[in-house]
Amino acid sequence: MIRNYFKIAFRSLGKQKLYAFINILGLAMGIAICLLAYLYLRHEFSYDRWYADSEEMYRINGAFNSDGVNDVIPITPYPLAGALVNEIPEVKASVKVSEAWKETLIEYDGKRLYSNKYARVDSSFFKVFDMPFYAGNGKSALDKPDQVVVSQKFAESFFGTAEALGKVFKFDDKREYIVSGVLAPAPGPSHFYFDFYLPLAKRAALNDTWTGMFNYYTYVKLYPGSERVQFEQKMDEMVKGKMLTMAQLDGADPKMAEEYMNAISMNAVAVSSIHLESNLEYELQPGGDRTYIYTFMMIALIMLLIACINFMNLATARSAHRAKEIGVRKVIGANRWGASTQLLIEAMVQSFAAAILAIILAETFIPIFNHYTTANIEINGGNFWSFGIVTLGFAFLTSLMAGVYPAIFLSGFQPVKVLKGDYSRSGESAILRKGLVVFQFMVCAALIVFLLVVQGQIDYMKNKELGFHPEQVIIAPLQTRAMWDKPEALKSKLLQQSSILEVSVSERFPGQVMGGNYYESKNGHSALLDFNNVDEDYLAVLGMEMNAGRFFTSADLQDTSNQYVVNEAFVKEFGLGENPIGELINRGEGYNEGPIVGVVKDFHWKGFTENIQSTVFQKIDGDVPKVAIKVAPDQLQSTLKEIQSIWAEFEPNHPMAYSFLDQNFGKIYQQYINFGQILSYLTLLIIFTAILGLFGLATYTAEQRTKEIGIRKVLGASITSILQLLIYDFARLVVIAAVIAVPVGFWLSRKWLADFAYQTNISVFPFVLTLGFILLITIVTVGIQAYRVAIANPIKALKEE
Amino acid sequence: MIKTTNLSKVYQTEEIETTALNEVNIEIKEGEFVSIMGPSGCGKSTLLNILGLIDNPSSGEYHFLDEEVARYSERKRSDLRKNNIGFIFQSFNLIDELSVYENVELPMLYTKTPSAERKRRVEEILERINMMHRRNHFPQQLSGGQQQRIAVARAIVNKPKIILADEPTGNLDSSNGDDVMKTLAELNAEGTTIIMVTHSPYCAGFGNRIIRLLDGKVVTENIMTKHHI
Repeated sequence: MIRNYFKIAFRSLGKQKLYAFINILGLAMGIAICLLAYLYLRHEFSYDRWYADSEEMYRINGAFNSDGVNDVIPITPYPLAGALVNEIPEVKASVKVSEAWKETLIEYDGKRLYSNKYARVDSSFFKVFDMPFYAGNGKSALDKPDQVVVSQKFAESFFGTAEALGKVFKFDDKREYIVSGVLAPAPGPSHFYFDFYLPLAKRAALNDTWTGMFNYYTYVKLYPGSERVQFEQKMDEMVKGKMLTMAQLDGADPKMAEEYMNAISMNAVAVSSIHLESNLEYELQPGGDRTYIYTFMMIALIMLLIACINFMNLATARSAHRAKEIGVRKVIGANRWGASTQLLIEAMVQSFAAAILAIILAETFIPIFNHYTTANIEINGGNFWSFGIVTLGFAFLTSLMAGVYPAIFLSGFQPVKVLKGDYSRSGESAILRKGLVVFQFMVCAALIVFLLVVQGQIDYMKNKELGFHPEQVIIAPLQTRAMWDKPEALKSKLLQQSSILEVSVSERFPGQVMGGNYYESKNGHSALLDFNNVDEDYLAVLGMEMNAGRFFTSADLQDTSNQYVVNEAFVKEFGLGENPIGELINRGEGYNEGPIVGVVKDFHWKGFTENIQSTVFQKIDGDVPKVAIKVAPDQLQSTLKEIQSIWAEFEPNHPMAYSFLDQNFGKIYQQYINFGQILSYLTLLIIFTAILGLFGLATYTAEQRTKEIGIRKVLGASITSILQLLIYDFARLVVIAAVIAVPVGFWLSRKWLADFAYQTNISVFPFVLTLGFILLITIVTVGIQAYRVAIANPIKALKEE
Repeated sequence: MIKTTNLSKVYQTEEIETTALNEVNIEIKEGEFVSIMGPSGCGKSTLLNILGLIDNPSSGEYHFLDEEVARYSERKRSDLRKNNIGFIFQSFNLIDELSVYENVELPMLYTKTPSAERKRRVEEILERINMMHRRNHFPQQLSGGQQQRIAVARAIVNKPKIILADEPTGNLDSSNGDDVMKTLAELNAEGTTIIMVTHSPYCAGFGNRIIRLLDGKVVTENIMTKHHI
């Protein structure tokens, strides 16, 4: 029997090629997007879950509570890791990780490049994180201070071979490291993104630095069965004890020390949840976003649903074609269940054909998808079987979603009626069909509106006044201590060039994360704030403006006393009133008191997603700076060569690693641009699928009405009036869809825009454009079919009956 | 074998009520060949559909093989139908997607006949109606007469006790029509009960009784004394 069902399924598909094509292509695209969504979901949820003891592994976060604001950061003091393993019984092992803090020159066999994709780690790192080794032994790979563990990918690109064991490279023009281990590709993604791992030097001087130097990521592995909460309590007590002891030894005011101690707490976050749940400042990598993952999954399922609707609509619209066969089968002995099974099998045949095509489509879409997301998804040996099972699962789901309604509907035909040629039940499905078409186009219209708003917001962010001017600015990190201490000669040499307008040597520029420090004012206000160490030309090179007072001068820079320049947001947050100039503020725990000498106008350092934060500028002093060079308009490329030759005079052993400030800053928007891109691809696919269905439906409608149109033409109807007649039916549905889409699109857009502190206005424009667009595609799609019928010879149409 | 008591069928639309069958009382015994005749719209096909368990009566009783089936559900009717009744239609109603062989085989799939037995019976029947050489053809590739022969083969392949034929020769020329009627007469001679709706007195003459309907009522029942063969 089943064989008979399959036979019929294949033969009727063969006879109805357009119908099969529309169904299979639409379902394939829907399943393909669902497969992508699955791979993406699986990728995002598999971060750091593949270590042998990943359930016992935690990272320590530090939390600062002041004035009711809880600032949590993922970095901790130097001695924490050592103390945890020595003093807390639950801790089996612990390890510190220190991220690269500058682009560093590495050299091998004449090859030179800058990298900041490396970390310094305790020698026990690979005992805690059991990453697979391609060569070398993780247990001892970092035992000596000149050893380095590299990733296989890095070895292949840098050394030209994965057989890199024993190779030596020069680091920062000073030290040499010998490769003691090559990491095989990891079985899953990780929040460690490093190309190579250097041993972290032991720094005895920092052993007691509990109250500062929050620079180290601390990881622990607990003994199996340990309770996280108990561990956290013990850790918190231990850290507070250490801090109090240190403060007492330092002779600090006991009351203040106690206050500080109480403001600090430590907690543990599971390593496997860092990627999706911990989205703190100073994370090693930006985390994933559950909302984004679920949204994508949702859109994928809606896309599949739209393809299934095509299937349902075409099946019920064509019901007359099938009614006779079903009727005959029922007379001969099929019951309704048998007839439904047969129709479901037909849906299944098409769904499975679609699933096979979907795998090919998914493979095609994966590179595009990876390009626009941070994920790196693939179909490989590791997920081959689960991918296969999920594909089968989607094929089944699709069979049911698409097939159940037509099966119930068609199997319900009464043989006594259809054998008389009465297919009048097809009318029953027409209302549902119209409803489903409205739903499809409502989704399309809402997505188009949303897409237009997303693009609008991106344009808004690109064009809005930032409060500084990143154009025509070249940024290059200074490489050697000599240059950090004495950049003046380089600065003045650069400024001799007529095309160079301004030069500043400062620590951080837009597009980078600011430093964080505690500040307090005399009126008792304190907060963890962004700060930046700058020279006197910072204001000019970025084209920022003063609101009150003055910026630093070169005389200030010579003077070692504390002075601060703040932004308007600072004045407001600290309640410094009309005249903040001269107000004293402290940095850190009551030290470094100095006056505010100037207030700069607010600027959008973090773009438009966040409100402007209070920011403090300090005089640069022994920090690791970058040089920023503002070049006259249109002379960027020609000046670049001159800059490079001047650079070579001052930093002969380090080639200039430069970037353009506007490009660096533009990366802030990259994720939104990427989101817009993915969304536009998805919207296009969904529109295409809906159009495909509409085309199919229009084809069958036109066929069904051939006789009616023949009669109308005989009675004198013009081609235009027939086109109007056929198009009107669908155009009406699409307009209804667009009207329903208005609140949906508006709601979606508002929800997305809520993430931005500064938002574009939602105008009527996206809605009007959307309506016009979907109306146009409807008229074209239906029009093609309608025209074919309208120009046909009416006599032929009538003879056929 | 078949007995109806005050069997009525009323079709109801919003405004009008049409009585298709009005208190029909008939009895058909095993081995009979009964023709139902009457003008268009007199209720012939309605009666045949009810007798064939495709439709339910509005009121009255219907005893089929000594079972009262007038209120049976579609599922029960379907079971009785596939095991006991074969149908032949005016418009053949072969399934276009299935080959000659598969069309004839279909009823046995519903009665779960074993595969070897199915093969044997399909071949036997196709041989008998001389259509073996067309076994892999599809209905559209056959003439009307050939299609109806396949439809007859399909109707008898399960060896039904009763064959219901609705104008079996209506779409055929006289020579092909004759062939079909002869086949039916042969089957009747072998013991199969046949009930046939027809307009044609000639065809009705193959049977041994004529039931005449007018406006949903039985007007006369003639016993045929003379057989054509």
